[in-house]
Formats: sequence, structure tokens, C-alpha cells
Amino acid sequence: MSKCFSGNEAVAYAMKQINPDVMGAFPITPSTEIPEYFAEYVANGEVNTEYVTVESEHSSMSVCIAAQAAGARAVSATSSCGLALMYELLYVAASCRLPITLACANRALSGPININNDHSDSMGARDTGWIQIYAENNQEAYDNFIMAMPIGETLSVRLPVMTCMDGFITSHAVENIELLETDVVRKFIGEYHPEHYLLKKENPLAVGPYDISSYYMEHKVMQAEAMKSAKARIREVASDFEKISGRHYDLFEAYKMADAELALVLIGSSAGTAKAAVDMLRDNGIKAGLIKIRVFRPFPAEELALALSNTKAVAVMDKSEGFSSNGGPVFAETRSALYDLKKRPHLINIVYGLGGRDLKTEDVEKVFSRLADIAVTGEASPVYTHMGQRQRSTT
Amino acid sequence: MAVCVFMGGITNGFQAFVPCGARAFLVLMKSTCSAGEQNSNIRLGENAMVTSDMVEIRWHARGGQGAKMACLLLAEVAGQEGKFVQGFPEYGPERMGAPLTAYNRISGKRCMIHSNIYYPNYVVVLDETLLDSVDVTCGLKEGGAIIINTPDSPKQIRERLRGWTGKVCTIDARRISEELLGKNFPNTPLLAAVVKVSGVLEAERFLSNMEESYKHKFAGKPQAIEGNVATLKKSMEEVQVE
Repeated sequence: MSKCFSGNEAVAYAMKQINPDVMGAFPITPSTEIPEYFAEYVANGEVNTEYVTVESEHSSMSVCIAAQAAGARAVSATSSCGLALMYELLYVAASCRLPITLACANRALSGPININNDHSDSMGARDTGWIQIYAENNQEAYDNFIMAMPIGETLSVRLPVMTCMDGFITSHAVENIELLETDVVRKFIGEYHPEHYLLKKENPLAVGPYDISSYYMEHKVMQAEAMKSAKARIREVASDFEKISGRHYDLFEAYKMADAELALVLIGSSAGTAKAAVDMLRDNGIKAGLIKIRVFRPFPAEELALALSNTKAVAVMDKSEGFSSNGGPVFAETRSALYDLKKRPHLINIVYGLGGRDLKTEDVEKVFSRLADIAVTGEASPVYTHMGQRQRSTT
Repeated sequence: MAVCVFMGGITNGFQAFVPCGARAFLVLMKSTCSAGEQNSNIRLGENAMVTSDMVEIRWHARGGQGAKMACLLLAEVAGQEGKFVQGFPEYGPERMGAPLTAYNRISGKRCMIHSNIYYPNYVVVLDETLLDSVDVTCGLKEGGAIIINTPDSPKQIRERLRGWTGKVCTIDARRISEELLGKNFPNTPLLAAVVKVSGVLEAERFLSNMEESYKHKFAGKPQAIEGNVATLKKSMEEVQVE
């Protein structure tokens, strides 16, 4: 079914088709429309979800944790400071191995307060133990949300999944979308039958009690193993999803990378804009390509290294500033992934697009222009720079 | 204020790295204007990346005038006609009366670009007082048109367009809207006007699709359907082009 939906409506519609047991709802810009649309579905009787309105995101995630621990399917949506307020609970959800699904419409974090897009919210939560899948557009936001439960609920994984899309750029842009039929979605998702849950009378259990030093480490190693095994499951689910949708997904999308000498690594809607620039460079004989990271947690290190192994110069573009003084989070992961290659490309990091600063095709060309210089001269310094900001006055 | 930035020549890298013809991608330099002002250190160029069949529209309005709704409606209706569309507003501080922009891309194939529109084919201005504070014709493509909500004629309003020499269209959206809808809703007349002037959608099909979407939207108050359809028709007839 072809429609025109904003990213928010696409995600809300996916939620409707899934018909989860519980939604923890606390609205925050730019994801506000997700609980809004969903409230309408609830009011119209189109879903039988328990819609729990709460007083904060700390509580909306707590609702999800309690519901999922009780054996139900729980979802939520948030952005920016909302995700930050969930921070403690994100760890609880992941370490209790509760496959909650959370839609994040990425927005800058304070301060100064800003409602526009960058990735600092979800990048700040990158070490909480959640699987993170990023979308380029409304279609991917919809598809990723539908794939989330079959990934997270698998026995070998049992981890919560955060599906991310760019706030406003994707959440509020109306674009064409192909929707699946609801019965196809329901069949794809299947029913949720957790092995253990609070309300199972044959096996009563406590969830989230104190873990003493004699066991804590074992639990963390198991959690780490679960994140590692998520990679194979994500690919398996993508392959099943292709059968019902015709749309192909992987850990990342390699765009015109087969013979690429100059490449970008980036995440989200900017990848679309950058593809247009790559197309034009290709038309002019320049061997440009890009890798759009779709799955950031687990990080596809070996696959990424392989995909970049024949390039000469690579720019990793971070849409969040990690304040590490050593480059953004995507750069840190990418550089680490490339370390084991015998022959490595030159690598630079460009932090861009903070707080809604627009990325234009010309900006992308400029990055490729610098990569072309580096490929020839071998001089990659300065490795870590920012792009798109006003220059400080020298007077 | 507008800043003019030039880039000094072509980098050594490309000279050495690619066949000479490949350098054509380095875009022509142009002085920037308000739309690109915030990125004053970055060169701006005529965006050659959009396919020739793509129509790009930039809306200028004030918060509360319904530009976002018109922009999203246009995307929806064009989508119904089998076009690939984008309709998106640019958000800032949310308050009534603040200047805002919204954007449409309409094309025969899916558009991957997700930046704002700096070189539109058409510019729509819902509030003529914006002409004094916003450089609305910034980047407007030669051969394109600007459509303004004003009781003035195109000839009269042209003087306020900072040297724009292309097509100017005007429509008295306030009068039409007050007459047919009983209230000042400038978005509906301007939506009709931009469809008429751009020819991006076939007029009859546009009207019938709009009627369908109004039936859906105003299911609870059917009296609004007729007024809105009449507004669209009258606006398409009345828009002046020079």
C-alpha cells in the first residue's frame, strides 16, 4: 500500500500494526506525534494496547520495564532530554534482558536548549546495552520498527531495541512510503512468548534484584555475548523482512563502494543527501562511495573494515560531538575497526549538523574534495575538525 | 547580512587524482544570501544535483498562517498522483507570527536529498510583510516564479523584490478566503496558485483529489468542503502572472 507519511506517522502506524500490549507515553518534541497518533488509535479502538500516560520519561521507561518483565510487549517513543531522563532505566531494561522497543526521533541535547536534529541523544546512550538501528528516511523508520521485535525477542539476544530517525528531517517530513498489510506484519512479528516472566506461576522470579560481586561479572559477560550474537540475528531478520517487503537491509548500506577510493561513513538522513553528491561525483569520473551505518549497536566492525579495505581516504562524519577531544563516537568506532587491517586508508573525522545545522550536497562535495587531497598527499592533518560553523572573528 | 565567500581555485588533489573532466563538479561560485547565511564559510553553488524533472518549492510565511499544512497537503496530493514527494517545514522557536519556511520537492523519482531548498523553482509568500525582512527570492532559479499573497498587481509588487527579473505572480488570498471561507486562511488560495503557476499537477485532478481529502478531513463539518473547493477554484482563476 502506497501512502505519504511523515516519519512519526510511519512509526506510529507500525506500532498500530504490531498492536503492542503496553505503551509508556510521555511526549517530547520531535517525537510527540508518535504518542499522539497512537492515542488516537487507542481511542478509536484500533488497538487494544494499555496506553499508560505518565509524568516523565523516567516513568514511561519504568512502565515499559514493568510490563515487559511481566511478560508483555512494551513500546515507547522519545527524543533528546526525554532519552536522557530515561538513562538509568535504559541500563535496567538492557541488563534485565527485556526486549522493549523504543522509537527515538533524534534531537540535540541541552544546552543551550535546541529542538532540532543531531545524534547526541542516542549516541549518549550508546553504551547502555540497547541495540541501536538508524533510519535514513520514513520508509526505513517504519521497516526498522517492524524488524525490532523479532531481533530483540530472540532467545540468543533478549535485548531492548532503539530505532532512531532524524528529528524533524525525517520525523516531520512527509514522503512516499510503502506499507505492509497488517496481517503480514502480525505474522512477521509473531506472538511474544518469553521464557521467564514475573507472572508465570510455575516459575516465580524476581527481576532486577541486587547482584553481588560473585555473579555480576558473569551477568555482564552474558549481556556482552547477547549483543555479539545480535549481529547474526539482525541479518537473519533483514533477510526474512526482504521476503515480505522486497526491501533489502544489512548492518550498513554500502553505496557505490565496489571500486570506491574516497568514501564517507555516516548515519541517518544525511546519507541520502550524500548519496546525491556521490552520484554527481561518479558522473564526473570520481570514484566516490559511502557507507551508511544502519546498526550502530552492535557495531559491525569486521564488516566495516572489509568494506573500507580498498579505499584510499575516508571521512567519518559524526552528527554528535562526544567531547572526547579525539573525535566523535562513529569515528572512534570506525578507527578502531580499521586498526587490524594490514593496509589502512587515511581517516579523518568531521563533526557536522549539530542542533539542526543543515547539511547540503555542496558540503559533502567539499568533504570529498579534501579526501581527494589526502589520497594524493597522504597528509590527513588535522584529523578531527568541525564543519558548517561560523568562523570566529579574528579581530 | 549576506556574506559573499569565494573558494580559491581547484584543489591539487583533484588535479592529480582524477581526469581533468572530472573537475566539473566544483560548482560555480555565487554570493550567498539569507538562506545560506548561517553557513557563511561554505561555498554555495547552483545545485545541479536535482534532476531536471524535479520541482522544488519554498514557502515563506508566518507561524499560524497554515503554510506547513499547505505544504504537507501539496505533498500528499502529489503523492496520490503517483509523484515522489517531500513536504517538510523548518522548525525554529514555535510562536505565532514568527517567519518560517517550508519546502516541497516533487519528482518522478524518489529524492534522496534531505537538505533544505536553497535554489527553488518556485517561491510562495503567504505574508507580504515578509518582503521587508526576508530575502525571499534568494536562490530562486531563473525561469522560476514567485507567488505572493497581496492585493497589489505583479507590477506593483515587483519593486519590492530586490531586483528579481523573473516571473511574478500575485493573488489576493485574504479577500478570496474571507469571501468564501469567512476567515483569513491564506494557505488554501496560495496552494491553488502554486499548483496553477507551476503546472506541477494537472488542475482538474488536483481539484478532485483535494475534494476527496477535504471530505476526509472535514468529515465532521461537511459545510467546509464546498467553501474550500470554491476557494481553490477561484484562486486558480484569479492568480495574476507577469
